Amino acid sequence: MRLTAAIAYDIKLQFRHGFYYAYLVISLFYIALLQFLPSSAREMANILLTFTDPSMLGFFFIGGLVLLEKGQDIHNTLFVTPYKPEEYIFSKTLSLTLLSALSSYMIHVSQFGFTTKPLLLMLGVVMTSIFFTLAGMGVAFRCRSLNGFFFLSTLVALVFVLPLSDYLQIWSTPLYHLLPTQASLLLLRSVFEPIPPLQWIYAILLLAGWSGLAFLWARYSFRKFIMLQMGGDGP
Amino acid sequence: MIPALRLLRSDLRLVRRDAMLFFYLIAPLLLISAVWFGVPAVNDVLISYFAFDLSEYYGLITGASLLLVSLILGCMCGFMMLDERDEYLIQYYAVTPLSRRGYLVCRLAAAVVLSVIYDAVLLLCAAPAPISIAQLFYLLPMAALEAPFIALFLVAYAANKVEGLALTKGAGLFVAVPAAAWFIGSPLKYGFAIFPAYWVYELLKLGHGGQPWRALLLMLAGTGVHMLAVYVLLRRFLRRQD
Repeated sequence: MRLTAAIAYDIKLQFRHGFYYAYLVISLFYIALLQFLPSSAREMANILLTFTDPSMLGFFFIGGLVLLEKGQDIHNTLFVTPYKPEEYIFSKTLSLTLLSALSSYMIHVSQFGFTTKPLLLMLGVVMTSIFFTLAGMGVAFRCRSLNGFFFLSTLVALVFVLPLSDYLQIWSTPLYHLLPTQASLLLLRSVFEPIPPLQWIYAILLLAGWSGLAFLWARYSFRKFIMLQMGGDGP
Repeated sequence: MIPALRLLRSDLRLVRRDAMLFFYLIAPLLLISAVWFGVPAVNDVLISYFAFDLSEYYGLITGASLLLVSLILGCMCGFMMLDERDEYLIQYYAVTPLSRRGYLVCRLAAAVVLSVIYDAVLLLCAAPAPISIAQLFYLLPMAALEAPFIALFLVAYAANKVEGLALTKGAGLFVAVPAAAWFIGSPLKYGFAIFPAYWVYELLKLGHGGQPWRALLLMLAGTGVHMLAVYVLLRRFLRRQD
């Protein structure tokens, strides 16, 4: 109950800060861009755009959200209430994931109508978004400035976007199969090239495992860099 | 001017002390080297697999990477100011001899100087399209003003860093949307002329084939549009109460 209220409030906050308008404009831009491409390239472009932008938007936005609250000392007051850090983490993650899903779905439907079965695609978007938002949150708790956040998060993102080189057939290694983003791409692609059940089960389990790790990391970072710094002058 | 120099000196000390800021200064170099090595490699792949010659679009790619370098620097400058505003530092600076105006001059000047350096490196070494010295001097004023334009767009319209991030997404479109003019015919493409970045693409599309007057005209118009945009945003920022 408290979690639903928290999520609703986070969505309201994100709406008020213009996230939804920003993504409406961005999605319309991508839709126009896709229209412009030859139809043979449209499927690949849809997957590339969805993976690199709406799926990862949480990674980008969470830095601002956490740093602003940190700067305004919101955490000090927030966590004297019964509100748990876990709820805080879930609420932030799920609210941003909703925006990812809406934007991805809008872009996909605009190009391919309702002819495809986008269940696995959307599952891929949602799980990727959850993973990246949690990972970004872990980074954000440790940072003090936006530029610092973007520097560290770029390093983290660089590792995780490597499987794109496999998708684009530039370079590949079996190690990619351990990365969550390989699973993301597998799920996203499955909307156009159906995959056997074993593969999507593998992809879902891998993403779920990495999201679990990212959650533990975010919670650890929270304890170490927020909880333990409370009451003092701050880090 | 002296208080501004003092702020700059303390910033440099900060960069020396904070390794992360130093590393951030090399971020545009990563992009430059990606263009340097990446574009010819991608072109080889495209030619051999898809019989698609990318070199037709080298001017477009040069323009986009030039603007992207300025965009990165503009965002960095904007983020810095957003952070400083959220921490009420700008208010402190405003009551010192530095003043609000001096603070702004110092931050924006840093963005301009860095863009000139990085954009010149990009154009001279890494640009896939061959760039003449005349083109370099025509492009640099516009590319240099692009960074303060982006930075001011962020701080003039965002109330805090969260709104700033949402606007950053829009700032990317300022650079990406006018690229469409490359593919659009004559009467319609002038609709993009209100975007400062449009003029950079136009100038590169012209190439350096014997139309010096046209190039000069494009440069003057483009620099004018950039200066106007910076001026309008500057006014807006200075009017803000925070």
